[in-house]
Amino acid sequence: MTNDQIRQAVLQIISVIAPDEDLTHLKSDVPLRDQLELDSMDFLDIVMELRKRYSVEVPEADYGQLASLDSCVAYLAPKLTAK
Amino acid sequence: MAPIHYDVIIIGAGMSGLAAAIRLAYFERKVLVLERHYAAGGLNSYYALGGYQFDVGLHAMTNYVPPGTRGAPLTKLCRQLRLRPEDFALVPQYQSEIRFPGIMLRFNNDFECFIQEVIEHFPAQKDNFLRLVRCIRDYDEFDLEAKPISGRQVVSSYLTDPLLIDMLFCPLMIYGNAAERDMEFGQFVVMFKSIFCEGLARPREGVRRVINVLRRKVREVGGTVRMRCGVMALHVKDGRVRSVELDSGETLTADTILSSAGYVETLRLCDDCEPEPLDPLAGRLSFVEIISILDAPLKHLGYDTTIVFYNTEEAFHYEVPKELVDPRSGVICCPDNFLYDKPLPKSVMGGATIRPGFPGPHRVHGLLHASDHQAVDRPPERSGVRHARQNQDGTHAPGELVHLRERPGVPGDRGRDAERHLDGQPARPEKIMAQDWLRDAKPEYDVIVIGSGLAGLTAANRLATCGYAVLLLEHHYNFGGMATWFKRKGGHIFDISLHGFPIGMVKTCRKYWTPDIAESVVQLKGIRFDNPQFSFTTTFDRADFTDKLVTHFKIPAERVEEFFKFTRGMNFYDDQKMTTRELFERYFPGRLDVWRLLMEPIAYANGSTLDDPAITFGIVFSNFMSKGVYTFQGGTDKLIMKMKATLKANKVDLRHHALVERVLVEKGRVTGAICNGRTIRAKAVLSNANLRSTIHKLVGDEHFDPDFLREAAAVRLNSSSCQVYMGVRKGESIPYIGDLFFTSTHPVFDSDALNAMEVTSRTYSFYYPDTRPGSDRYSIVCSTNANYEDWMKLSEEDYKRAKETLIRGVVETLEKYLPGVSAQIDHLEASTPRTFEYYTRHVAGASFGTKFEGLKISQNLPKQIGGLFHAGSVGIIMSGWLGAINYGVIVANEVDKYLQPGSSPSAEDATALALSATEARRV
Repeated sequence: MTNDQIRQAVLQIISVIAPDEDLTHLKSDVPLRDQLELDSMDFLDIVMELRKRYSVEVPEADYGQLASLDSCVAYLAPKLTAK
Repeated sequence: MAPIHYDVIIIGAGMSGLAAAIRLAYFERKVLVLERHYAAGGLNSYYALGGYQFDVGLHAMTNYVPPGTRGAPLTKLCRQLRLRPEDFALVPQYQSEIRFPGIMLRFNNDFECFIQEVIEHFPAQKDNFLRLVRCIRDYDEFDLEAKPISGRQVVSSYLTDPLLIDMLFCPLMIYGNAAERDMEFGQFVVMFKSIFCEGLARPREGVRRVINVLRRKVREVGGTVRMRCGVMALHVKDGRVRSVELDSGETLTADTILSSAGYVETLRLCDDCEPEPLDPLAGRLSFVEIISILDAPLKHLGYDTTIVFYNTEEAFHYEVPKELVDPRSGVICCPDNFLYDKPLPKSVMGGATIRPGFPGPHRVHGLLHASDHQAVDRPPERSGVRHARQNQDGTHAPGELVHLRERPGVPGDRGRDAERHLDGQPARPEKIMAQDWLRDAKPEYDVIVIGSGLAGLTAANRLATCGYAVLLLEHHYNFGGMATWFKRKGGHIFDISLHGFPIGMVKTCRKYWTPDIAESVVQLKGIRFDNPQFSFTTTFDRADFTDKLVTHFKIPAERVEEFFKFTRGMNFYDDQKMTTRELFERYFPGRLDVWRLLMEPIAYANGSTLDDPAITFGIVFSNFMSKGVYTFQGGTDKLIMKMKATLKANKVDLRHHALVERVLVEKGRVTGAICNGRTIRAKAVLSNANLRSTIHKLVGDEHFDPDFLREAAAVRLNSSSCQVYMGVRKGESIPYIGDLFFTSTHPVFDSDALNAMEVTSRTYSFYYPDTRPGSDRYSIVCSTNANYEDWMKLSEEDYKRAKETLIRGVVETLEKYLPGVSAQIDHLEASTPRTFEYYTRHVAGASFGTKFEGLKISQNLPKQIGGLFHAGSVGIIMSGWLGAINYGVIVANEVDKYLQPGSSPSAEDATALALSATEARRV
């Protein structure tokens, strides 16, 4: 997957978890939680969706890497490039 | 054969078991839910009996927030279960009560109301309570590491009145506490937020809706639920559950067992368990539930409370009773009293058609000592739920209202009223059927009009004649808003606001309604004053006023002429800084008697004061001076009936009992509204609700510009009113003493005195038989202006007394002018700002809308949100029957402009402002 595809994949997951959020103006470098109403359960869901859809395992220690869109892409890129 | 293996086996298909199954199956675990009963839901289940459907346990769902509310537990839960909040079709409560001897606290789904209610009843606790609320708001109740602390201890460190403490604990403990006497503070916070800060709601179909949604979702995501499949034992070896043995003898295995049975109950299933040490851990509290079927819908009997939490003793006791049941406290729920839009399910209605009987169950909870903890494992219909007795012929015994009638500690007018009516008037089944308030409503309209005041009705009519599909939603059962009437036993009929309007009404009705309606407008010629400064009767027009001012008040004719000319010519663009007081100073300096003549009637008409902009006086006064005071022959009922017929002919979809909870906004434009829990789409929404509720409650602050909100927050409301309705006994008559009568014992005109609880000034409207040609009845309505705050702060006792004082003063004053009249009156009733608030849902019971600045806010709404309009009593000049109708026309034109293809939403708003002034003037 390219970085752009990864970004789209994350956005797609967020849109499933938080269907009532407007994602059009999401800033890539700002933490998602500062822009969206996401709680820890929602982050857990992001992790679980990643596993379900792309068989990517995100260990709990790495949850912090998913803070913003940019950091998501940076963290997931090595795991997803082959897919 | 090897047992079937699952990733996870869940014991129990209650809400938690089903929710866990959804999550696990969604994330691709092989999940099986085992349920012993034939119905899912656990303690929140349901069953059918005798043609009725009943819920067990669920009176109302707590934590209700309107769909789309961010950050709320309900919203989060829906996200996690991949459900939409709409799936549960939750319908909000009407209002609930906490009743203790001699005191009652009301609450609904608006937390601010509850705060006000507490402050009014416990003024000394105000600061303490607000601090407690802040503490609750800031408390992280989900911190699982937190050390348990005593709720009573924490709350007592804020509140010093034990009564208030008990009143707060009562509902929270009854609905969510497993321990006796005290409640863990975290649990207190959870329950406080879920009941008071958020709110109560219920699906129309009851708990089965929730359970069915969850079960469907389990299936959808690939989970399995097996019913009538009890777990006999969990076989444990080396500290691990190795297999699950079912009642049938079948054996299953799983990586993980998730039990939603109780802690003790789960451990008992394990075959290595030693039962004895578990006993002290078993729950000690249970409840007994009585379901009664009433023979009339409570709402029709004036009983609209959703849930009553009651306590009949001074202190609240929540503990294992010494007797079998502790009847001293409990909860009564009326599942009918939610804001539904559709009837209850057919099977239930089927029962109602065969015999008289109201399907809505009515409940009392008491505490029951659960000495046999196994009882909770039994199917609900065996665990203490009792049914109302039925007679052999299938009708319901009248004694079924037993808990309302004999319940000692739940006093109150409404309960008693319900009783009385029930004895006297068995309800007819066809009335019960009429509950689908939005039946056959379309999913989409061009325009939704919220509220059926004269502005709303007129706007709806205008838009319908322009060819738009219009839906009119009124929460009350009657149309007309403040332009309404009511009937009372003994053939009495009372008009609420039919006191008199200017001649302009004729033209307005002809243009915007029908010639027929216009022809019923007739003049009232006897306008009478009696006060310490003057006493006479006038026709209240320019000629007679000139005569009075010149001959009675000795004002030079030229001065009078100049004054009329000036007020008539007052323009919207003029300096609005001039107040009415300054206007009077200019023309009649020091002549307080003249000021009173000019001002008093207008103050009653629109709540304005000497300190409001002179334009508000000038426009309304000039309108009246044109040709005097007019009324609608036939009464308000006839007018509204004719308007309704016109609207129907013009294909407006008219709905009553239809409460709008929310106006839906997406990307800065209106997309529809949620009414009675149902979403209806629309391109435009015209709110005839109070301006403030429209902004804050219906739309929500988050959709507006902060600057706009600041400006809106500064809009002052006009005062409210009290009225006393006097019905003259059939066969009696009173002599003609005038149509409108302004009386006062106050030395001069004084707005504060006009609104004060100590009433010195009153205006009487006399309704002689020719008000309703063909009738031989007389009625009198006395209006006084009033401050909402004065009335809201009264306790129930004081409120009752204040109403009696109000009525006594009104009748005694009238007796001076009509000796013997009090003996002729056989119906007396008072309304207060509280009454107006209740029926019109106007903020602070405002009976004349907003002060002048409200007009601009009302007209700027569409600039804030495309397709959002407001019409109603605003800015003083738009109040009264004529002002409201004309404003409805003006705003309808704006809506039309907006809906025209290719129009920009905010075009030409500025001209509307000017137009409104001229429209109001042209009358």
